Amino acid sequence: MDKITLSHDVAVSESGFMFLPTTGESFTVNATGRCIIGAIQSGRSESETLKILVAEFGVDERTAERDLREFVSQLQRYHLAQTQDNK
Amino acid sequence: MSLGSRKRYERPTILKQYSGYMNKVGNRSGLAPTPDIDGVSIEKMVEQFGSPLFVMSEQAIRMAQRRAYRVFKTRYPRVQFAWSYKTNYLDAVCATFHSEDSWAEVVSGFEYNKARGLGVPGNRIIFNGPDKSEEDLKRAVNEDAYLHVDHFDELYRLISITESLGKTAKVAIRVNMDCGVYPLWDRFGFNLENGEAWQALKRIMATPSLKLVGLHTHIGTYIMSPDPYRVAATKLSELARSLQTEYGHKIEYIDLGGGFASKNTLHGQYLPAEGVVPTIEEYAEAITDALMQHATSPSELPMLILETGRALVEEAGFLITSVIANKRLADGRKSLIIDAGVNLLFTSFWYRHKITPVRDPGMVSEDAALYGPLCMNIDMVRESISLPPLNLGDLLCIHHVGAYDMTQWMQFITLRPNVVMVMQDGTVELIRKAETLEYIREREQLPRQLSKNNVVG
Repeated sequence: MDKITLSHDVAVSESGFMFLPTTGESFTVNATGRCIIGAIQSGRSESETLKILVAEFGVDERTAERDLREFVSQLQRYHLAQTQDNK
Repeated sequence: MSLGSRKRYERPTILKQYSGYMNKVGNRSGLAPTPDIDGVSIEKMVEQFGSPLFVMSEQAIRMAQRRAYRVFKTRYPRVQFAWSYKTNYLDAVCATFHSEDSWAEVVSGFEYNKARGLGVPGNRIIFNGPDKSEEDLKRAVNEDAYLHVDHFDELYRLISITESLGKTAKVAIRVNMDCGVYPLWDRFGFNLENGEAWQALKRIMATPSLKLVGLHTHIGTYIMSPDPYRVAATKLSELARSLQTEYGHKIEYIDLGGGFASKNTLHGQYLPAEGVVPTIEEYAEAITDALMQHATSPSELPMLILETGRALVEEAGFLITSVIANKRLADGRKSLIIDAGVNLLFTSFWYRHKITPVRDPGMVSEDAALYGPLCMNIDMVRESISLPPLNLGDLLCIHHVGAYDMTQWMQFITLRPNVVMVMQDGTVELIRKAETLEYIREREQLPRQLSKNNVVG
C-alpha cells in the first residue's frame, strides 16, 4: 500500500486547522479527517490508518478504504501530502 | 474499545478556507435535518416503500387550501376554488381538494374524465384548454359543465354541437390581455386589447344555445407581483360592465385563473423565494380590491373563481432519495449521485430545490454537484448545493415537489417510484404504485417478424 507523508511545511493544530505558510492557504478538517492526519503524522502506513478508522469509528473496512482514498487525493490536490508507491 | 464508546463516523472531509470572501447574506446552509413528515419517520417509509419515494402530506394540502380560502373569503363574499388538475392529478390529491369544497379545473378530456371518475359532477367542473374534442364537448354540454372557450374554431364547433343536441351550454371565454407581464401570454384565449374578446362575446350573446356565465383569464405562471392581478381583475370587471351596458347581461363569475408564485427559488433568483414572492394575502388584496371597486352593491359582485395550483400543493410534496455514489470531479469539486433524477423532478429545470439530509448531518458541509442516476448529461438536480458528508444509502429530502413533478414526470431509463400520502391520522397510504417492467411492456407490441425466435435464431 502507498505510504503517505504530509508536506514538511504544513502546520496542523489539534482542532483540525491546517495552514500552509508557503502559500498562506488554510484548511479545516472534520473529526475523521483529524484522525487520519494524526495517523499520518505519527508515521502510520495506509493499512494501519485503515485499522485505526475501523477501531475508532466502527466503520467497515471497505467504506474506510474508499473514503481514505478520496481524502488523501484531496490532500494531494491541495499540496498538503504526498504518497509513495510501495509496490 | 467497546462499540458504545466509538465516535460517530462521518466521511473524512477537508475544506479550504476562503477568508477573503464575504458572506454578506448570512444565510444558513439549510442543513437542519428532516427526519419526518408530519411526524412519520422518513426512514421507516423508505424501508416499507423503497427509494426514491414521493410523499404527499394530506395535512399540508388541507391547511394550504383552508388558509387560501380564508384569506380570500375574509375579503370577498363569494369565492370558489377549482383544483387545477394538471398541477397534480393523482386521485388522492384531487379527492383531498374536492373534500375541501374545491371544484375541478381541467384542461383535457383525460382530466375531465378523471374528475368525473372521482365523482365530481359536471356542474362543478371548469373545462379550460385549447384542445377539447367533439366528444369532450358533447359530454361536457350534456353534463352541464362550465366550458371556457379558447378560440373561434372551438366556439363555432360548440355552437354546432349545442344546436344539434338541442341543449344550452354554460360558457365563458378565456381572455388574454396586457397586465404588465411579459412576454404576454396571448396564445390562449381571445385578446382584449385588439377587440377579439368582444367579438367572441358578441357571437355568444347572439347564440341562443350558449349561455354566457363568466369571464376567465390566466395571466401567467409564477407571477412575482400582485399588481398584474389587480390589472386583470380591473379589465375583466370593465368587460363585465360593458356586457351589462350593452346587453343588460350579468355574468355569474370572474375567474382569475392561477399563477401565484410559490416558495421554490428559481434558478435566476438571488435571494430565497420565501423573502421575495408576495404572500397570498397580497394577491388576494389586489384581486378583491379591484373587483369591489367595480361593483355598485355587494349583491352585484360576481363570484370569484380561483384556479390556484402550484401555491396550494407544492409544499405538500416531498421526494425522498438515496445517495448511490460519492465522486470527485476533475477539478476536485465534490459530486453526489442520487437515485432520483430529472425524469422524476422535472421542476429542477427551473427551481433550485431545497434539499436537506434526513439524519442529523454533523457540523461540516461542502459544496457539491448533485446528479441524478440517468446516464444523460442533463440529469443535474442541483448544480451546487452545500451538503454534509454523506455515505452510500444516506437519505435526502427534496422539498416542495407537490406541483407538476407528479404530472410532468416521465418514464425514462428508470421506472417511476411509489407515491405515498401521509394521512391526517398518521397512517401512510400508497396512492400510486411503482411502475414495473410488466406495466411498461403491457402497452408494447412486438411484430411477429421480430419475435424472439426470429431475432435470436
